[in-house]
Amino acid sequence: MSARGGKFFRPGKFLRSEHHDDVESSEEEDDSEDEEKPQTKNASANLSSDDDDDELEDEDDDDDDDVAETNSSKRKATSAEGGTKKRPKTSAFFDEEAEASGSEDDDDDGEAYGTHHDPDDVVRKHYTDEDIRREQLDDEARELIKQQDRRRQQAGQFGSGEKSVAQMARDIEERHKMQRRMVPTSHLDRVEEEGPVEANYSAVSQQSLVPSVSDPSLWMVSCLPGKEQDLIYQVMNKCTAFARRGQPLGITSAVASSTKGKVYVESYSEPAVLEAIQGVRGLLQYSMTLVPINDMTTVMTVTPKKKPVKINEWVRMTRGHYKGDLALVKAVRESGLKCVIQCVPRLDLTLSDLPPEEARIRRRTVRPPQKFFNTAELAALGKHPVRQRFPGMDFCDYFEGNYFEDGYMIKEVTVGSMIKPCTDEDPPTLDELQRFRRRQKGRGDNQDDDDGDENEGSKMAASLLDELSELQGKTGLAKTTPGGGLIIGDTIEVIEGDLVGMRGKLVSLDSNGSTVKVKPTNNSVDLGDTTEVEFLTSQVRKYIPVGVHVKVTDGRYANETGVVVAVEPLEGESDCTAVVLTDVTHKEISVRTSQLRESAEVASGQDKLAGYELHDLVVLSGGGSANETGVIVRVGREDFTVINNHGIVREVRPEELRGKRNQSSNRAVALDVQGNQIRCGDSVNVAEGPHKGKTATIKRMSRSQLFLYSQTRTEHAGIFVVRSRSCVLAGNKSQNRGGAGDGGVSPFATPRSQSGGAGPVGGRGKRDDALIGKTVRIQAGQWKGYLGAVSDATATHVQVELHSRLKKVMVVRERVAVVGDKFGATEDTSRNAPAANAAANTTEDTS
Amino acid sequence: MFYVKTLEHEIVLEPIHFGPKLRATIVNLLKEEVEGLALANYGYVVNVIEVPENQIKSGIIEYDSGNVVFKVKYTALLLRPFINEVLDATVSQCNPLGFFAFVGPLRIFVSKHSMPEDMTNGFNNESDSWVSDDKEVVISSGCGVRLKIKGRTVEQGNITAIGTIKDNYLGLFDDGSGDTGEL
Repeated sequence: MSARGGKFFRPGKFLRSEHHDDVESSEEEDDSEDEEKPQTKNASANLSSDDDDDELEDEDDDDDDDVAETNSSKRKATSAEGGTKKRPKTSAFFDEEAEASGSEDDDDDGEAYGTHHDPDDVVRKHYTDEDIRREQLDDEARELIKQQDRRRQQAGQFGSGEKSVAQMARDIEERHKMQRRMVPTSHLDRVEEEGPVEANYSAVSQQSLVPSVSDPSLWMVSCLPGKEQDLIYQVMNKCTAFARRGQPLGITSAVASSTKGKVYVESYSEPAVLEAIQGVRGLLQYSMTLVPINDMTTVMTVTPKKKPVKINEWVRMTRGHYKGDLALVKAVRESGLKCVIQCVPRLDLTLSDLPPEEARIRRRTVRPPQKFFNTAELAALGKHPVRQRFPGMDFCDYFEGNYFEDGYMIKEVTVGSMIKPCTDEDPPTLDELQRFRRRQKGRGDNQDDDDGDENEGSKMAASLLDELSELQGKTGLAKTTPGGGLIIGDTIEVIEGDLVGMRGKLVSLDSNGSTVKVKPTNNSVDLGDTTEVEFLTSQVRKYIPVGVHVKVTDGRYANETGVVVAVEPLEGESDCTAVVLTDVTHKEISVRTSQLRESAEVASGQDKLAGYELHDLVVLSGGGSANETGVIVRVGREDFTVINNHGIVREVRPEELRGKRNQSSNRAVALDVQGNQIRCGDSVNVAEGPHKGKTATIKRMSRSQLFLYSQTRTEHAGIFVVRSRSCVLAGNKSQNRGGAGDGGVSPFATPRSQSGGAGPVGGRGKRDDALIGKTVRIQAGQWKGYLGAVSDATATHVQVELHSRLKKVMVVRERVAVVGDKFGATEDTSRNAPAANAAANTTEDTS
Repeated sequence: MFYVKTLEHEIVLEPIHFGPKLRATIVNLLKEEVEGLALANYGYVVNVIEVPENQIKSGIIEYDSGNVVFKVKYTALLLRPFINEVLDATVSQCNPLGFFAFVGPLRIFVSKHSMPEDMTNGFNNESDSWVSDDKEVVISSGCGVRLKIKGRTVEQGNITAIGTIKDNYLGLFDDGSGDTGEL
């Protein structure tokens, strides 16, 4: 700053004198030392500056009305001073110009003049700063500055030699492009009308305008609310008055911004501010506080006027369970302070049945889903809403303190705190509108789809929905890449011209996408020797046959993969609609063929939300029972569908999930009806229950519940829930089936029944391999109570490798009880006993 | 379509198998490894018909493991679905989007879009079956249907196909009761 400053600050006479009465003379010396310019010029400049001041005051009186004007005028004052002071340095030419222009009307000034003022702002900026510095400056430093100045002048950025006015103006312009920070203030002054110089400023350059430590500080002074502008005028008058007296205040600006009861004074020094506000009645001097640099921009931020809410406008709720929900303004009350809105209720009907303590927790934690109010449903629960008049409106259903009409909730809310209007950045989405729209069919089949009967809000949603979907349809078409999403290597079909029906591989695409080269693949047409045919892109379309595996590249279902099950031509369109059966979620989606690409990849489009993926085992919160788990079977835009451990499907929001349990699921081991170990990834047959006879893979397991996945099932992404004891391990993994002669007794049941002394001992003549590897507890003898793994087994004895000792002991079979498998997984023996016996019985029957 | 083809397969044997029954072991192992597998270009290997023992060449010892690699030629019965091939399949499961049918190991999905117009909306939830508008045709699990392959997907060791019954002479021919009405 100082390097550049050296050139500009020189003329700061007034400010300097503010601190030192004797500086005037020294300053004169200074100038004379610094400059080779004639002293007389300086004198004349001073004179003209006085003229400027007079005139400025007049002008100030003229436009007293506006605060902004005030500031600018004030700036004008200082800048004018500076300007005149500065002139001697630039060139003789400018001096004359300045004097001449000084007597003219300011508003008539040409560009050159206007721009000329800007550097003076720069000058002014350095006033006080330099001021302080110069107080301590010794001759040596001055000499240094002088040298620098001379050098710079020789380098001749500007100022040396006589340049044309235009050249000069350009130079200055150049310069303050570099010193952008000062530009806005100058714009306030004059350039405003002249042209959008600031149009050059991008967001990045805007960033550079943000105040820094080298800029004047800002002090906030409290005052009587409503008096801000008056007080600013007073400060301004004081400023000009002091300036005329030759003791300008060291402040750079004073502003009354939109904040009530506060004015802001900008200066490099605190004493200057103190002086400026001293004696101004109404300004509370003691309340003066420095505004941190980071907050300075906020002071000047112009808050856009709050748009009042209007009837039939879409708003968003900002509080409670309804936060973020879409609502429609039905009426505006209290001159816009309150309004009546209509929204889809989120009622929790279970609340009233719960004990108050639980209800309170539930009310706080569980966000009920959006659902239309339904009297019939309430009646089924034994609750009856009352017909009551909504204040100022028609009769509505009244239930638990809320009013409902046509299924919607009607509520009076305060604007600003309860709702905020939907801005352009956050318009109602298709999804929301769809949810908002109440379909007549939902009410009952006997009721016709009569538009006249439809709720007005629902109609509004419907019309906007149509508009949006139309728009989306258009953009969807326009968005397709040139050539209908054609990619080299695609199979295409000719739909126009002589070669209609021909298919081929796309060999090359024109750079602008207007023509394509195709290598024919079917030889229905004799093309002679030509191997490549050129077509316009409009003449061909992507050919997607039924049965291919595709990936959706664009649109709503982007990144879904699946198999094409049907292709239907679209009326009036060149491309077709393909029905795709998705791989993972097993649902049918309709996609334009232009949005498809043949691919072997397997993926589901939307498979992640808040860190959860499809088929994740999750812990659910709420719902009363603790430790409810489930598997995600659908990932929506903002919620999941989860099938829980009782096979009940419900929708949950990401907030309601308490983390994944995939890891523990993968580690878990359960036992099937025959006592076989089953774990994730195993294939099982369901032996009983509603899913009897099905074969499926274990996707996840939670305790004894298996979440099975079957590719052939379409509902719930192929997931269904079965108890592990209702399944039989499929395939050759089952160790014990057809075990010769031991009656098919499950290995699990064997030792228990023996230790109990009641089980059938006969038929066990052979080595029971199944016991090997199991964790057993020794039940009698020297090693009673010890745990160990069975390392070997004979007909009568087992060899147990003790867990706690480095020792293998032989124990009579009857004296061990299995407590877990080789992985140490323990089972609740009391629970297993009957099941194991039952298993033994069933297998006995079959054998 | 079923067809017989001579294929080659590499068998890796551990030294423990070396001995007088080497060739028999190789044949057994080959059958175990290959039967039921879907080869991407040839289809399902239904059965290994013959492994000419004189065709089993001497193996090559892998220097880092001691295992021996034999290249074995064998003739196999293959099942490969061809596009536009007409097959008789057994319905295994019906769901609201269509039904699955099996031809041996090959699973074929017939979407409701690939059914005659009078059946596309005929899914009966209670009996899990597809019923035509005149209730004449009922496709449920266990039925025999004649279908045409429209597309196939080859995955690792597995082939699935998409079929259609929306064409002349396609559709139900065996209602699963045992007596074949049409044939």
